[in-house]
Amino acid sequence: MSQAPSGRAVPASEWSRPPGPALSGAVEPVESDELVIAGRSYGSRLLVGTGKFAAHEVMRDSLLASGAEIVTVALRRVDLDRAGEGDVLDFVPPGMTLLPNTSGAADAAEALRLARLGRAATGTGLVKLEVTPDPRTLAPDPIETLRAAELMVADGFTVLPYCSADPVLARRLEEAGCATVMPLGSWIGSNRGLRTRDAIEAIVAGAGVPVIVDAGLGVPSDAAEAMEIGAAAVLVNTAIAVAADPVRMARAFALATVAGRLGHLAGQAGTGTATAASASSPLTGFLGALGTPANGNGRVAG
Amino acid sequence: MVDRPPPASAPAPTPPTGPARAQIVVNGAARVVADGQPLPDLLAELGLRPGSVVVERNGVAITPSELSGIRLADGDTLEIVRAVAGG
Repeated sequence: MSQAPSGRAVPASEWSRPPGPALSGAVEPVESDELVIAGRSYGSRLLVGTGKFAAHEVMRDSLLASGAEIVTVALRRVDLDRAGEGDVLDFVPPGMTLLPNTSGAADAAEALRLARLGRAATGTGLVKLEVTPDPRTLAPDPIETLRAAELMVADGFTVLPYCSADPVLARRLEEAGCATVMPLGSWIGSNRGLRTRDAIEAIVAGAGVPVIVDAGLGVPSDAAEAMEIGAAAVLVNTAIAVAADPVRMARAFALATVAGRLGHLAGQAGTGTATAASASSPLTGFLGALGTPANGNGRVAG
Repeated sequence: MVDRPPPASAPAPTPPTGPARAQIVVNGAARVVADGQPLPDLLAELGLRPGSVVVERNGVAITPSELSGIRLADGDTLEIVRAVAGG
């Protein structure tokens, strides 16, 4: 500590101290901390959807900026009158794992049919199971989702189900053999954030498979919040694709996901009350008062 | 969405006499092809690059390795799908 002779503050440049470690602006994960899904490891805990980008090139650049290793695609009937249109797969950077979804499925049978087409298209058995018969909310149908999961597991798929934020359903999906559970943060595309926080915490507490928060995360801090409460990963599409600058937003979500994960691993400090502070500076050893009696009584510290 | 019944369409026009024809349904539309036509030939006719699409025949997804061995027969129903951008 620097003394203050004659009341003069000694500048840091006059101190003698050993050089410390260089501070860098590094924000990459500082430890090996891989996401493991069905025995396969991934370095990124941010999964990204490919929908809604204004152009394939923007999508490609955003995927690169996100650092994602798993990206979702959908399957749709080819419009035979426009057979030559650009192929989205040409713009997914090589090395990224494709996760075909079953969007558009209204029941388990349709979902299984789409999953099989997705497997034929991508050559992987990974499938993002989604059964969303309600066009208004696109809420996942829990009964058909569980039924589809059972059929898909029996057919050899690695199943990542989009599901309601329901700890009982999550447990049932895990018991059915799903590789993850993917409860919603809020409605698909709504950007309303982690409205299901308490339920997600309960799911995390009971899950033996990775919990991936899918849908509704609207800003990077939503992703950080999900990771802080113990989500294994997040899946983001609309918030990136529809941002004014999708590439920059992809990077922001990547950093927030890492930040939230590190915050979770670091162990959260306890939360205080609304009516009292807890001083973070010592409450003893105050300076002698200047021009007032030096008794220190009644002082506070911030 | 692929699981939709084909729209009720008028039967395809009867082809002139010649090699055996097969009436099939492709993405909901009736179509007449040569009986036994290899599936890759049909895809080429439709302007589709092999490998950019996946075909389901009569409800069964066809893997890329199986594609070249498939020959079309009367009554076949095909769904030709592709990966598209999506969450």
